[in-house]
Amino acid sequence: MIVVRQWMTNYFKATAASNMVALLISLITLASCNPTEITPSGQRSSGVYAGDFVNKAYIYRESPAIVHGLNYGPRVDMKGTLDKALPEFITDKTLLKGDCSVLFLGVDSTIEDCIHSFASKTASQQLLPKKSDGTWIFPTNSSEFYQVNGLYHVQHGVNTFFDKLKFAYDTLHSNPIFMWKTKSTPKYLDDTGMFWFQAIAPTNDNYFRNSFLSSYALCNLELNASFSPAGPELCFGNWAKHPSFFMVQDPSIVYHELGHALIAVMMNFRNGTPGSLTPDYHPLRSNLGGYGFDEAGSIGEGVADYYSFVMNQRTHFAEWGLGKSMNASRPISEDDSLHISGVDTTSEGRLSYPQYLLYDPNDPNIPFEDVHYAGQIISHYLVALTKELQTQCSLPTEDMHDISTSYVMMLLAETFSEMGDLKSVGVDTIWGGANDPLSFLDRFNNLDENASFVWAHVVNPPTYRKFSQIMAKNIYKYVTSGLCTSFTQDESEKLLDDYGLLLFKTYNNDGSSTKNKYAQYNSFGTVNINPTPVAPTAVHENNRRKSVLVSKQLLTLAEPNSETDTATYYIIDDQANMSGILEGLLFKGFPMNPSTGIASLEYNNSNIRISPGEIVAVIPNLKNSSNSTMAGIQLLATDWDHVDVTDTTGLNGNFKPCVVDDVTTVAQGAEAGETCTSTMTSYKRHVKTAGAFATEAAAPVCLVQIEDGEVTRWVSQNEFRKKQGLALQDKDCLGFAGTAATEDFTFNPHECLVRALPGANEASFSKIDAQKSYVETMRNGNPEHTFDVGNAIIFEVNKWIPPGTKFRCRLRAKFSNCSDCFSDAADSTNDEYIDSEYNGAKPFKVINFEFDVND
Amino acid sequence: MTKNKKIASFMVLSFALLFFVKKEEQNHNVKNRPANALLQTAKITGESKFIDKNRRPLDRIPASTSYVNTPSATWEKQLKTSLAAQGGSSLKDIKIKKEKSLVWMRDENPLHVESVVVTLTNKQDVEASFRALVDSQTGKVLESWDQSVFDPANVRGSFRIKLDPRYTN
Repeated sequence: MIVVRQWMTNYFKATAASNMVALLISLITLASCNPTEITPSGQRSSGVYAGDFVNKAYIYRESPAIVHGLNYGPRVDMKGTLDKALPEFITDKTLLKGDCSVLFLGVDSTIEDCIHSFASKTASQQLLPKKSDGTWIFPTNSSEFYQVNGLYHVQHGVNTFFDKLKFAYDTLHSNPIFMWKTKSTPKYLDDTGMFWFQAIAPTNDNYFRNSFLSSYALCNLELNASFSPAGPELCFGNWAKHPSFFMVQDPSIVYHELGHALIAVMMNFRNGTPGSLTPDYHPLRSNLGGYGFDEAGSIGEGVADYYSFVMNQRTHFAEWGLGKSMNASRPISEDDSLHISGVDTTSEGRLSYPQYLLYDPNDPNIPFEDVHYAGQIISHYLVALTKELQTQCSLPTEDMHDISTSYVMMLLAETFSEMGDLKSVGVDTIWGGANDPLSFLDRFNNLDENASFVWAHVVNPPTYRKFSQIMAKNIYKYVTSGLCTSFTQDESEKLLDDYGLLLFKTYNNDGSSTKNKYAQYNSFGTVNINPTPVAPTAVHENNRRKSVLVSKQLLTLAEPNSETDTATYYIIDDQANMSGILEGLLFKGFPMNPSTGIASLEYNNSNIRISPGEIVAVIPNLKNSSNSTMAGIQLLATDWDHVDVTDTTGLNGNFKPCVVDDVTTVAQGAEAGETCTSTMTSYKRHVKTAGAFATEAAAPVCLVQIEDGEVTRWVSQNEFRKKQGLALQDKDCLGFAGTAATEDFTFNPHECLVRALPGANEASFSKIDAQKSYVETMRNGNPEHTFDVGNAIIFEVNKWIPPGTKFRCRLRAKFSNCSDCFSDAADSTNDEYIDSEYNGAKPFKVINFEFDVND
Repeated sequence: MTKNKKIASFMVLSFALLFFVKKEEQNHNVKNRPANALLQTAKITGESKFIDKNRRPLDRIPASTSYVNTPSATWEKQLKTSLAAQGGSSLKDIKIKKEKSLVWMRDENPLHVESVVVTLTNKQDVEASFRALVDSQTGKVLESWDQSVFDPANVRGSFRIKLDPRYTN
């Protein structure tokens, strides 16, 4: 489909006289505007525009802080910020909306009306109609004015993205150097429509609520902006204290929020494949980030900041929207004057990981764990990479920014589409077609299509290590080996190391399947079974100078320490804090299915112990006994393969815990034999299937201690509730939602007594300093310390638990700069663990969290 | 043949091959077998029909039918109750919009589920949204995704968990 834009046809030729007249008229018109308030909706500019102004409007290209200087405002009149020299094309449609059009190998793929611009969210919201004079020139500072500018900047950002995507797609799929290499950005993007928020599907199978991105220029958000993929929509808030101040006045904020949207697009490139009649889509979608601090969310913020740089070439973000309001604007490069001394563009001065994870350049003396600040490491790395490519690749000066950012966006597209792949096949045919999973047996991304969401977002989510490793792999594959050979492997590794991001030993490019390391695909996408697996490309170890790797064996739970005033773990069981946590989690989109009548906040007694019936947050205080900082620590309370199911009848699924460390021993009822050495290759929780428990399953983390005569054993909660004189029925268990007449097929009786709530069953910790615990690192002596919600795991406790009952929860920890979390020490090639091995203990350090339940 | 001619010939051949590949791809799409769909759009009796994991329309009954949950008319009410319980007094409104019915393979159980968009409005009239797969019988949320990303100007002002002073004494 070819869309010819009206502005391309140049119907009217501008003359100096007509421009002067128009300018005069517009100045007279604009001078009548109230500078401090939005002009009432519906009021139209009294000016008459025609000719060159048709379909156009005056726009502000930059925020008032850039146009007038940082001291301007916050009371603002946008008249002075407008670029009066050149009205810009807005849309040739009669309503305020735009198209998405991208050329893939010269073929135009267009999604019409893919962007809608509104003022604020209302039940009766309607798109703004074009003025009767054919222009979009509305009174400056009016609601209509901001809607028009909102569309202009969003459309500008989208068009730029599609220019970059065209470059990526054409380069990957037509450059002879890359034609015979497997890629992540699929050739069938145009067939599936996954280059935007639209699926090509029957009308009763809508993948999105809307096939267009809504932009709300005047959203009801106090000093805030947001991207909601479920809309999808962008919201730009205001500042109640200053009625003329709006986030949308800052184009860098528009580009940042749009950056989040584009990440969401790129992460889902592979989640639709062409079908016989209509494309086939995975029912879920990938995104970056969880409910609190984590590295995935930090990557998202860093890349979104970088997109602002792509758009405006400035290495500072949000001088107006964040800077003027809260003194919270962010640099995107080390040569920014806001940085503290010592931060510069030398190797030593880079904003490196993990040193600067908590660095707030506006308040550097008070470290703060937050995705936006942590994300600065990623944004700075991407800007430095862009500039390195400009220098190393002899790019023409006039197109330097455009070409170099196209390279980086191509690398990001490849990286995100691999990380977010939920269909899991991971490899297309050498002709670019999707492999049919019915006949193509192997999976190369995120375990398999049933467990991929959990793998890609919880068990093995995007981290700084994963992101930098895949980026490095793609740099090696496309830049070093093609687009710019002078940007060598050493150059790339040195730059990563400057940022402390050389966190991996290999490029993990050996193409091993997620379930069988001997099944490997080659550069043609053909799968071979190699008795000796092809080894991955190794990192040149002499490039690793700042990126320090630490053994997981040095990570433990901290001992209580009166000198440092720290505990082994922190229990939050007061109602006020817990209400806030649960409400916050839900608002962030993490519903937890709280049990009804078996546990609730009404039982919370605020005694900082775990009591029957409570819902508690637990913050384990992890200790780093090494001499280097550990970073990006993730603690999982998700079900895993750590038991041997001994019940062969399938009736109760009783099991023995496997010996995974020296804590739970054979004498305590654990199993150390052959039955515990295998690892599941798919992911299945320990619930009944076809009426029976399987003999192999991932079990909940919490075991319970049972007394058998004089022997105590760690057993399944299902065994305990039936044997220990409790005789608890299913309806008395946590998480049961059946009725007398209906069964609950998701019910897991092995977490009848204590369970980590879904949606809050993992915790993240930015970093732990050498020889310190996490709380020592963060608190730094401050008695008023507060924790990020992402530090907590939330447990429900059954009200029927007998007081004194002991639990042992086997949590699993790994971290980004871990030396032995990702490959076996005995493997000289450092071949990384395959996805199915994340079912077990190998990549993790098991952290035993023990507690008694008492009133 | 000069070096330049060799390069030119190679480029011509490459473009020809590319053209062929594109054509082949288009043909391939037409003939393509049905794509895998372990997780399928489902229509249950009356309202929707069952489609199995190989995307065969379900005029036949799946072998595991007796273990598939029974869709209930109250799933939405149960979901809303559960969300309201977690949201406590902070929420002003909960909107649930069903988008489609599916059969979702979870722990090897084919479950009837509803794919929904949940929109929450808090007391400050701020909206957030996410998607969820919900058990058609119990209203339990099985997965949630597509959560809103907020970028507040005051990142230090977000909700934090206070350290209980009893831990510092």
